[in-house]
Amino acid sequence: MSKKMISRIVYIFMFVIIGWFILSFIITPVISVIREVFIVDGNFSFNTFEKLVNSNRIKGALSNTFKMAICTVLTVSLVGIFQIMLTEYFDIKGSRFLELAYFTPLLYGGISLVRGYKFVYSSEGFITKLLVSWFPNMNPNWFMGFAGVLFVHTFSMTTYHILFVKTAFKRIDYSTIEASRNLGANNLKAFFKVALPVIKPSIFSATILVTLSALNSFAAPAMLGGKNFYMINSMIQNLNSINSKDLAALLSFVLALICILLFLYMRWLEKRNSYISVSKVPTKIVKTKIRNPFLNILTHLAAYLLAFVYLLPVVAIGLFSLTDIQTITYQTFPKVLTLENYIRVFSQSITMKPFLNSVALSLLAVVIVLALCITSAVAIHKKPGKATGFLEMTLLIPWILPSTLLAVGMIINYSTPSAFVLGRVLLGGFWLLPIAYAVISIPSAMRLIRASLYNINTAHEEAARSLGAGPVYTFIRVVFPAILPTAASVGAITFNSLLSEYTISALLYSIKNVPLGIMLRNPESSAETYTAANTLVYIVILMIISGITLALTKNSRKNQY
Amino acid sequence: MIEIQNLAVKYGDFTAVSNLNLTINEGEFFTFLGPSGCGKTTTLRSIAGFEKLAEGKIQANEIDLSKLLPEERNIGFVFQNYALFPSMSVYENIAFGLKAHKVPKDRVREKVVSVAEKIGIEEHLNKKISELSGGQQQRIAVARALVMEPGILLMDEPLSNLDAKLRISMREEIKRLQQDLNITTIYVTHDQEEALAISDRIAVFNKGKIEQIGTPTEIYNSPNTEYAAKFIGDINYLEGIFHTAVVEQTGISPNAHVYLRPQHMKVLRKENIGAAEMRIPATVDSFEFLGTYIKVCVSAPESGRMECVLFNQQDGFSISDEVFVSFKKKDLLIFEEGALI
Repeated sequence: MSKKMISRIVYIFMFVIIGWFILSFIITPVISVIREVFIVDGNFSFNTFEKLVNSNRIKGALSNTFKMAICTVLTVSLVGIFQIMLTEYFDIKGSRFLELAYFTPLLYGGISLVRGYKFVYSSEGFITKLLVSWFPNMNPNWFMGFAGVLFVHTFSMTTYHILFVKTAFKRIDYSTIEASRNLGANNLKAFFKVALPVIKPSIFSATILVTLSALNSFAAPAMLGGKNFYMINSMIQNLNSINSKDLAALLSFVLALICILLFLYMRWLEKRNSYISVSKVPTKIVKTKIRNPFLNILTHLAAYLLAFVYLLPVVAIGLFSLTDIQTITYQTFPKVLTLENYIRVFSQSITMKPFLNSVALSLLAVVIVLALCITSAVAIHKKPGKATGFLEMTLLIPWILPSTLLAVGMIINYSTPSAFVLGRVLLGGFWLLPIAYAVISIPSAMRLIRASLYNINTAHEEAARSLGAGPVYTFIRVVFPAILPTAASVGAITFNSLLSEYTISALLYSIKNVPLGIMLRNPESSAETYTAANTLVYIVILMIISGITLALTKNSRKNQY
Repeated sequence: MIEIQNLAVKYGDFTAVSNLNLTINEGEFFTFLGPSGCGKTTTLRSIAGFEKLAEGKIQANEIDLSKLLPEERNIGFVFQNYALFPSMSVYENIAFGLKAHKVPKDRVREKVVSVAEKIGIEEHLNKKISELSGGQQQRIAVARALVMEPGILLMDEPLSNLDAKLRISMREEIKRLQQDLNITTIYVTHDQEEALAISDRIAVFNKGKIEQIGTPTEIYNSPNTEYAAKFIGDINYLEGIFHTAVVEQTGISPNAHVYLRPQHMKVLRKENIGAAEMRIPATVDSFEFLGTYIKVCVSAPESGRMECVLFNQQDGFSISDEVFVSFKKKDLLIFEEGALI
C-alpha cells in the first residue's frame, strides 16, 4: 500500500470517529429532547405543553427564572459599572487592592462560590449572626430563596464586566474625555456622555451573557432556593429525579429557545454596534480625582464595603479551613490554626476520592476535547468547504444550547441500550460524565484553537514547504508547535472549569462516580462528621488551582477577549 | 532558465494575473517591479507553487513546475516578513530544510555553518529568532533559503521591513551574493530605485500584466508606455503652455503626451539663455533642499508645475523670479497613442 493510501485511510478513520462522536453525543441527544417534547406514544402531540400549562409549580419556576434574570441584569450592571468607575475612572486610594477583591469570582466559580457565600451569609454564617445580634428584627433566613440567589448572582456575574467592559474601557482614548472637560463637562458628565457610549457595545455583550447565565443558573437556586424557590434548571433536575422526562425535556427545550434568541440578538448587536477610535495617537486614561471631599469619602467607603462583600467568603473559607470542626460548625472566632483538615483530606482515600475522581473525569474530558478540536480545527482551517463548514457548525452547537438540554438528551438516549454505543447503557456508568464534560467544553476550546490557527503566519507553512518539507513534517515541526501553547492553555482552562462542574454532574452522576461538585452541594446533610471541614479544604484547593490556571493562561485569555 | 507561458491566476472572480509571458535566463537577477496589487507577488508565489494556476504553464529548465508540489520544486523563497520559525533557534531554522530531506546530521552542521559564514551570521547560530535585529533576521531568511542550494531563488520584498540605510547596504550584499553563487534570482519590489540599482533586467507590472521588460537603462531611458515612464524615476508631464511650446518647437502632434525628467532640464535667467535648444518661460514657485541637490519648482499660468534639479546652491534664484527652463529635444519622452516615438 502506498504512503498516500495509508494517510488517506488514517484521515478517513479519524473523521469517522469524530462523526460518530458528534452524532452520538451532540446531535442525537438534541433530537431525543425534541422527540420527547412533541411525540407522545408515537404521535405528534402538544400534551406535554398542556401538562406544563397545568402545573403551577413549573409555571412558578419559569416566572421565577425570568424575574431573576431581569433583576440580575439590573443589579449586575449597577455593581459592574460602579466597579469599573472605581477601578478605572476615579482616583480611589488602594484601587489595586480593590481590583483584586472584585476579581475573586474568577478564582472560584459555580458551586464553590455559592458554597463560600452560603458559608458566610446564610443563617448559620457569622455575618448574618452578627447582623441579627445588632438588629434582632432582621430575618435570619434572608439568604434563602430569591434574595439569596440574587445576591450570589450579583457578585459572581460581575466577572463578565471585568472581562469585557473593563478591556473596552481601557481602550478609550483619554483625549476624548479631556476634550469634553475642556468643553465644560464635569467628571460625571464626561463619564456618562463620552466614556459610557464607547463602552456601550461591550456592556450590551456582558448584559446578554449575564442574562444567559442567570437563565441557566443552577448551583445557586439548587443550594439557596430551599423547598419553594425553583428556577428552570433546578426544576429540570427535580422533574428528572421523579422521572418526568417529558416535562424535563420540555423545560430544557424552552430554555434552549430563549438562549438561541438571545444568542442571535447578541450576534446582531455585535455586528451593529462598534465604535472605532479615530485617534491617531490614543492616550491612556488618567484617573480623575473626586474634588468634593464628602463625595470622595463616600465613594471610598462604598468601594471598600463592596470589596469586603467579595473578600469575606474567600478569607473566611481560607481561615476556617485551618480550624477545628467545632469552630467551623458554630463559626466562632478561630483561636488555634491547624493543618489538621488538610492532612485528613489528603491522607484518607475516602476524602481524596471525589477529588481524584473529578481530576480523572476532567483530564479524560480534556484529552477528548483536545484530540477532537485540534484535528477538526486543522481540517476546517486547511480545507474550507461545505463538509468542514458543517463540521464546525455541529461542534459549536453546545455553545448556544443550555447544557441541561444536552444532559437531558443524553439521559433519554443512554438510559436504555443504545446502538450508538454498541448496545450498552451509559447512564449510571463511568463514561457518560467525562463525555458530557467534553461536549460542553468543545465550543470554547474550538474557538480558541481556531483563533490560534488564524494567528499562525501562513508564510511559516509555505516556508517549510518551499524548503522541501511535506505536509506531515510541516504539521509536526511548524504548525503543531505554534498551536501548542494555546492547546496547553485550552487544556488548563477546560480542566479548571470542569473540576467543580455542577450542572451536568447533578443530572448525570452516579453513586459509583461522584464528582467534587456534588460533594460541595450539601455538606450539612452528610452523616460524616468532617464533611463541612473537608468542603472548605476542597474549595481552597480549587481556588489555588484556578489561581495557577489564571496566571498560566493570561496570554491566551487576552487573545480571546 | 525559467519560462512562464500564458500565466493566469484568479481569486474567485478577481483576476490577479492574466496572459503573462516571460523568460528569465540562467544566472540572471530579474526584478518584478510595480505598485501593490499589480500581480508581482502572485506571479512569484505561482513560481514557488503557492498559488493555483487558472491557466498557463511555468517551466524551469524544461521541467513543468505546475505538476510539482512546492516541496518538490527546489526553489528557495525569502518571504517579506521572513517567516522564520519562532519556536526554533537560528541554527534549527537554517537546518530545517536539510533535516526535512533527511540529510545526515554532520553534513547538516557542515552546510549550516558554511552558509552562515558566507552570510556573516555564524555568531548568532545558537540564538533565538526574537533576539535578532531586523537586518539579522533578514540574513537568516536568506541563509535558510540558500542552504538548500536551490536552482532558483525567489525574494518577495525582502528589504521592505528595514530602515533606509540598512536597505541600501543589504541590497548590495544580496547582489554580491547572487553574483558569487550565480543563482537565478527573481526579486519582487515596489521600490523603483532598488529595482534599478540591483537588477540585470526588470519587468514592470501593472494590473496583472507586464508593461515592459528590459534592462534598468532601457526602461529608464526608453519606457515603452506612459505607465512605465511615470513609475520609474521622477518625471514631469508637460501641460498648458509647456506642452504648447514643445508642440510648436518640435512639430509633434498636439495630441501627443510629453514627459521630461527633472535632471534633463535647466533653469536659466534670460541673460543666460544663449543658444539653448528649447526654452520655455516660467516663474520660480518653490525650493526644496534635499542635501546633494535642490529641487526647484517652476510654473506658468494654467500649465501646472514642473520640477527641475539644481546642483548649485539655488544659483541665486528667489521665489517669483521670471526664468526660462531649457532642455534638449532628444531628452523629451513623447507618446503618441500610448506608444513612445
